[in-house]
Amino acid sequence: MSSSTTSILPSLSPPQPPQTQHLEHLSQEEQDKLKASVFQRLHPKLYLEKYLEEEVRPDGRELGGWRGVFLNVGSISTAEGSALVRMGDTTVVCGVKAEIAEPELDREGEGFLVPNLDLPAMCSPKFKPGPPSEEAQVLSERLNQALLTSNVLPLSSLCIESGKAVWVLYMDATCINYDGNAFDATLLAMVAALRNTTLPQAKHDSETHQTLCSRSKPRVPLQLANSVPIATSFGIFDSKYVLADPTAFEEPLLDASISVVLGDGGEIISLEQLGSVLVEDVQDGNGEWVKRDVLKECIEAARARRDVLVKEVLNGK
Amino acid sequence: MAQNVFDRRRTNGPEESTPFIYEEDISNPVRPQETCRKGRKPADIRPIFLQPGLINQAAGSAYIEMDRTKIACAIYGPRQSKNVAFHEKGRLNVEVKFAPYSCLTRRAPMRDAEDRSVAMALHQALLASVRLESFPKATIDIFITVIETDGMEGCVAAGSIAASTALAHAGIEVLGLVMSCSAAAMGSEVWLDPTDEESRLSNGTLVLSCMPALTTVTSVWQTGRMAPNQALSCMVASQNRCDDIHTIVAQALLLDNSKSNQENL
Amino acid sequence: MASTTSLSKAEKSYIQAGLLANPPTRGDGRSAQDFRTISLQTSVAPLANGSARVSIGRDPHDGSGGTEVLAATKLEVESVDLGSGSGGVNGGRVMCSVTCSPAAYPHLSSAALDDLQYDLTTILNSTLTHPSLHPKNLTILPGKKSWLLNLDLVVLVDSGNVFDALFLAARAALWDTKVPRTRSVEYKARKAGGGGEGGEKGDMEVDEEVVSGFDTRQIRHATDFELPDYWDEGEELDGRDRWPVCVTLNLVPPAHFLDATLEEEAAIPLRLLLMFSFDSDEPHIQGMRTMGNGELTVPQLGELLKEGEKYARQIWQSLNAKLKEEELGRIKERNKF
Repeated sequence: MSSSTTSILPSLSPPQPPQTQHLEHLSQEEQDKLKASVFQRLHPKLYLEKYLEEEVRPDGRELGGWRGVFLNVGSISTAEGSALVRMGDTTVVCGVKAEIAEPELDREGEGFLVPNLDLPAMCSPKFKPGPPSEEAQVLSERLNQALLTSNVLPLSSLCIESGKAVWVLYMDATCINYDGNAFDATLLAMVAALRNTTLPQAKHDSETHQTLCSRSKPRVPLQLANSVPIATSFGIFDSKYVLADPTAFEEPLLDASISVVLGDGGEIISLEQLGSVLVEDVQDGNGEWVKRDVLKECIEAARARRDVLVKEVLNGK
Repeated sequence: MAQNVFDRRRTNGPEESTPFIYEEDISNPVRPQETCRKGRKPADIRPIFLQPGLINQAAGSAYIEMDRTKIACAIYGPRQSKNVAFHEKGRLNVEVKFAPYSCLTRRAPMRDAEDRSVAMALHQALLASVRLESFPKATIDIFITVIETDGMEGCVAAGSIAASTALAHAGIEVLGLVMSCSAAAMGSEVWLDPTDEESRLSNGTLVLSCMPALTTVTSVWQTGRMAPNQALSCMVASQNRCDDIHTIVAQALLLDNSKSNQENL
Repeated sequence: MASTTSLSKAEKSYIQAGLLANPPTRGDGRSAQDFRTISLQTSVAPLANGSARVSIGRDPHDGSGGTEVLAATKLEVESVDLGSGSGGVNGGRVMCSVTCSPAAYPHLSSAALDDLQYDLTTILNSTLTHPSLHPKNLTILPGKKSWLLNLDLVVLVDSGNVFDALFLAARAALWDTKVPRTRSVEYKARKAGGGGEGGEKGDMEVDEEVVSGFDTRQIRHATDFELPDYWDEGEELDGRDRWPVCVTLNLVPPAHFLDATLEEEAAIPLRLLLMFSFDSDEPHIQGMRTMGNGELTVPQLGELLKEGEKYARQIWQSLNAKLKEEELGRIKERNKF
């Protein structure tokens, strides 16, 4: 029996500070980093709040700041056109494959454009292997709507022989690394891939009912419209802060989100708002929080962003 | 014509569509036999570009480019095995996905038998290298996305190099890095790292996966018609080349590690 | 491959110790290179173009136990036209698939069973459908129609060594396969008014056109084929001598043994599959695969290749003798009439 008294009653002494003996091998800086990352995991909302109170976000950006965009086209030789986009850490690869099909009976002179986004299990721990998740389905549908509404590629330009043969462009985007805001990155990748796509010259032989392409004749780029759709997304946190281009850490903490797809000259192609976008960040004379609708601000910010993207990123390619 | 199965979870195209065919291919279908290798010596492999740590969401990741083979690999784990009975050694779960634009004819986004056969080959190659007893009841998920492929053998070889790099990047205990090299038997010669065209013209192909650090072989996969001594010479040539690949991979990992150490400082 | 038998550590080490002993001892008293009794029958499925049934280690008294595999080939006509939608290739195609009867693996879920089927199919497909083994008589009409050879294998019971059984059954079924003889037929359409081969005279006042060999305006409407003799089984599949046999070397370094039972398979982590073909003077490897968690060295592989060749040659010779015997038996039966 040990000589020290080991009481079976619960200890009434004040709680001890967390034992740090097991962290002694780390430097003070590393210990702080570990504590911060534990705090981030256990209390993500508080963690983000503390940053936003200082008018900065966890990755160092301003509230309305954007992540750097990197674009690379034409690296996949098996595809008719391809593009790789990195928006911060979010990486999306888009490849365009062309096939030939018979047109629909009521749209004899129109081809097909089939965009799809795949969020495989590899891009984030929150996606499981298997059929497309809800998020992937929603994003695919939104991309489809955005591309069709903007008419960036008029479907009549994909016609080879009216009523007999048309081009089908399968645009498959794969997200390789998901760090939030896959929609913006994917739309940019798809648009860039379309600009990079070239199709062989095809001729339909009505006798043999076959469509043959020529290897010797040069390939033809797509007849795209001048106005390319660019998407910009925002999130509202705690009904107080408007965050542009949210990351994967911020996304689940948002109360509401706004996604704007703009064409040339600021025309709105699509606008999606989920949740209330009334922000309370100003107090009036009585100390009451004033509610402000930020939708217009977001659209303005999106316009500015689009100009920057089109000039620097797309026109370089 | 490719029948497109209607999938309510994706945007669908027309019911049937065919890949386009070139006029010239129909009129001149016969291609001349390759007697001399174009552009490379028989024992040369294509240059490797390897980048660990491409995917920050994953525990470990790597991206490899070998000319026209581009593969991204992400490793999650060891994490809890759900829905599986108790197992005292860890499990390795390899899943391979070919992007629809990765092959000359578009592949359907559904998983098919080819995905699984590549996954099986990679599983076999990596199984012996991982210290499974260090994580009982847990699974390591290895996800491979093939962005562009130039032949199945090249795919398996590049995939195992990427997966091994990613395992090391994730800090999972391994007995050694697994390197793979593919070889094709062309007549009496052995051509290393054949392209799709070259392996189709050859009599047979062989993919050898080994751990150069331990000079042991973890997996051999041979198809086609070869004499036994030819198969042996393919294996010896591949193994020698794996030593060189090992140096490249080790360097890439060291570089990445020193870079991340610098960032932390 | 899913390890379907679970063994305790004690059982595993018992089996391994027995195999490493000198001389090696096994549960059923066999030596390291002994096979269980193999029984083979061909032409077991009358509706198939070729079939075979193989069982390894079946109890002779009550017919139970043992690994049993059934293989059957069926020929289908495929269109080779590029725009027609079928996958036909000029020169014919060979497709192989393995299914596992759920009765053979009662404790596997259907998903796991699917996976197992996929895996077995992959191994057989990659070996047997390789262009070097492609039979040359699968064309019916060059550029238009060809045969699709479907080889289907069913694992009815699995008591270990399923790969050797699968390849034996495949080779036997392909040996037994008869390709129906075809003859191509052409229909030439006459110009307006007439039709069909007979060329009936319709309400035409114009003289019938004389068919000239230089008249390129004639359009050949249909090119078809027919079976000249309905009752003829057909000719042998070309290159039936080339199909390989498989020998599975179960590795307990430095030793190895053949024809493992389920328990032995579960106790041994690593095995080497070798597919050999002895159709010409020189032996050829048609396939090689390592399976399981283990390591080898290249010199060891070289040794195993040599040993495997010897075993495969014995299997090959016995199989050929049996196949010839079966064939003679069938010819005698037919000639009884």
